[in-house]
Amino acid sequence: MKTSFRHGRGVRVAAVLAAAALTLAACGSDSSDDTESEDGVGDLTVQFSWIKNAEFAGEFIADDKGYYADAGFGKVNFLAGPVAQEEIVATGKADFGLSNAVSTAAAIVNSKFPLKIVGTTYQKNPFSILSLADKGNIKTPQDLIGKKIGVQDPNLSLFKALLAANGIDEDEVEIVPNGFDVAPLEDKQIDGLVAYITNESLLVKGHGFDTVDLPFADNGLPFVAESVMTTDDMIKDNPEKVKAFLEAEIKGWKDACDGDAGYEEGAKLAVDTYGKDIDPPLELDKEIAQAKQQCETLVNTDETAENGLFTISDQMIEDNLTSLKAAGIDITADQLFDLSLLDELLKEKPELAE
Amino acid sequence: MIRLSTFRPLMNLVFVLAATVGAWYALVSWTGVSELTTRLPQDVVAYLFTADEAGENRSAVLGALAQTCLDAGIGFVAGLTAATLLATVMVLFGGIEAATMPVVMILRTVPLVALAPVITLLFGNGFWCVAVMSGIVVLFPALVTISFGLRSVTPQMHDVVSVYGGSTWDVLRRVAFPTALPSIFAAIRISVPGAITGALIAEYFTTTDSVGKAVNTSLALYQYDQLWSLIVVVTLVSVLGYSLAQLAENVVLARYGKDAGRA
Repeated sequence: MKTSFRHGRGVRVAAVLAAAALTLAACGSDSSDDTESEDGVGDLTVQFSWIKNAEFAGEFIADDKGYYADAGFGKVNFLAGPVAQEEIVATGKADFGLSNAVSTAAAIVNSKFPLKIVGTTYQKNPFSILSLADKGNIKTPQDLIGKKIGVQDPNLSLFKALLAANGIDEDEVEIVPNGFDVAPLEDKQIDGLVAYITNESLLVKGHGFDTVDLPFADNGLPFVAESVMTTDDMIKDNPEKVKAFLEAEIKGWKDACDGDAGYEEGAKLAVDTYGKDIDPPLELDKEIAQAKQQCETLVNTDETAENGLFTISDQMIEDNLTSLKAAGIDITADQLFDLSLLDELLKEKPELAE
Repeated sequence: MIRLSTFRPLMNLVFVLAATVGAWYALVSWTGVSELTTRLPQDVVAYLFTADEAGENRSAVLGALAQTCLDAGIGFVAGLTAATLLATVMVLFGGIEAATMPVVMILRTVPLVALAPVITLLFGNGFWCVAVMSGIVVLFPALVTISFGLRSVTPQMHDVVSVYGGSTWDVLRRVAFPTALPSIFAAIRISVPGAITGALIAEYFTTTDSVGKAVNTSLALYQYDQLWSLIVVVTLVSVLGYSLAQLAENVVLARYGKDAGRA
């Protein structure tokens, strides 16, 4: 009896090992055999730029309502940020990444990463100098002079570009290192903080403070953000996958920006489903406010009303390149953007642009 | 008299550099990390010397390095001075040692990264923050090593000085410090990399252009050439500093006879 039990276990161990080997083999062939199913485009991995909050309302809805599946994707995998999204995508750990024009352009110019932006969620970047009305009260770039501003190391060059774009000398502002924590601002240790108007600003306002925003986009530094970037190889070898992703994205974001019901749906998915493990927990009211604000000011503009979501106009591209130059990044439109697949998609399915 | 063995640090240095470069190639080729993010020795040489913007690159990297050397120098001097003074006081007054040594040993085990936010709160994020953080890294190991050296005076030596009418201070000056020289040099040697580590950590919390800061900002902008160059130059400085300390140790100890430092 004992021996047969042992024998049984041996078989089971062997079975588990075999299964593991098969799984490994399956993982190994994952990237090369993306198109196993007949009309599918394989599994999907998306690298986010931030934690799984309402910033990705459109992605959550696209997954929840099955838009990715409709477009032909198998398993959908969202990776939370913040990380070096460009590196994750360029090294093949994710199919698509959401990042901003400055970060992606820096990766292309400084380390020859083979990446392109193929469309964008945010027409305007949400970077802002957040201050309290009764402390820093920074309403214009000139108000920055003599103030103590908390800047995260990754955003240091961006902040310096904002100063340069407004003709302010770096020595006229006191830069102090700060994380993404809003406590030093609320405790009035600093006058201003580099923040997202859709995130930290709403968070601080929600805590009962009277806040002031100085958006980078309206003060000499416009560029696109939450932009979809992918590798040159993906564009060349798998254009259908890129188009399928953009289609599902546009549908998801249309729903996410479809009035109060849409804002609430995206925020709830963030709080209850996709971001439920985040600590400290997401606050529903703030997430709804974020979903609303990003749709009204960043996702939907006069240009998207005319051309459709995710499009980037020629004028917008010019503005991006100018901002990048101010940040010390010299790049051409062709090196950074490839909007041909988005154009193709919108021609094939004009209803997406409505 | 200076003997050939005095120059062993130089041979050590050559060996260490060769081994480091070898390990660099091996790690990059065996770990299979994407070549988008890794750089090899020749890439760093190209970035610093042969590229079109080599001049600009050099000034960016060396400017940061100069600041880090200054920061590390401050911590090195502050930490070693404090360690020597504390160790001396401890030897002179046994009670102090019994009271402070356990605390020192415990403080030594607290990681600096964990202490850093407290230090920035207390000292702001300027000069004093760097001095204190880099000093702390140097202080504890140096204190333990130096006080061990000072205490290794034999009772017989102590008695000889006392018999000739010498005071405790004379024992310290004529016997304890010379006896402790090997320990003091050991403390100096381990303090070189310690001071640099402390400076790099402190620089994350301050605003000046330095290696600690530049590593972070170049990472954010995918400037991997600059990143690897920074790591290379700061490692070189650390190894060179260590070798210099070793060279100085050999030269000085040679004066105290061939067995000095080996007893």
